[in-house]
Amino acid sequence: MEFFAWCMIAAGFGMAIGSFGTGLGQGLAIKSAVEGVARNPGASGKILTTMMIGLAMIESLAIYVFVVCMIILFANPFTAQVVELAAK
Amino acid sequence: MKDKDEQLLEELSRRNWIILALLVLLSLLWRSVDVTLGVLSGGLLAIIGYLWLHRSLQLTLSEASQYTARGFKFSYLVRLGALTAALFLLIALAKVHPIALSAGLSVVVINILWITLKRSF
Repeated sequence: MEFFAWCMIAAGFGMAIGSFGTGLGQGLAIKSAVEGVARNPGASGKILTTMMIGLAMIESLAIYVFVVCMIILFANPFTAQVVELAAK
Repeated sequence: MKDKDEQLLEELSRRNWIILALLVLLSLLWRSVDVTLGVLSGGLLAIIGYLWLHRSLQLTLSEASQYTARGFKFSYLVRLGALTAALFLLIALAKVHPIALSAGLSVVVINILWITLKRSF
């Protein structure tokens, strides 16, 4: 039982930290891009392309965190072993 | 947006499909339906997410108004919701191979790393 409780805590904290970091990263990226465009509107195309690529890269981090959390919760490779040990 | 920048994003979009095809071919070595399905579904999700982000950013930046900003926020939420729902279904219900799914989701990351390395040397 304790194992499943720890799994849920790990998934919750993982998702919280992962989304916090991603949100911070995306916010900073967009802030810098908008400031860059405001300072030099001529370079907007280049800045926005880089921002788009950066956002895709940062967002994949959040997706990885979500996948790991889902694996911990629903496809945990140790669940069978723990259930077997608990049954003994 | 400049032509060169537009070309870079289009090149990225095109190469995403090539990398996905290569990963799927590589996954055939395992001779497991779960692995191939994991790579394919992960790759498709990553590519659709990338195209969706590209399209909504393009729409927002082409005509900056309060309506388009609100539309971008809505589109962002819908995209994240759809992505999380799809991943939940794939992992919890369809039980695809998790490592293969992660490999498939890395299509865009591999592409960006490839472009960065290519431009560095």
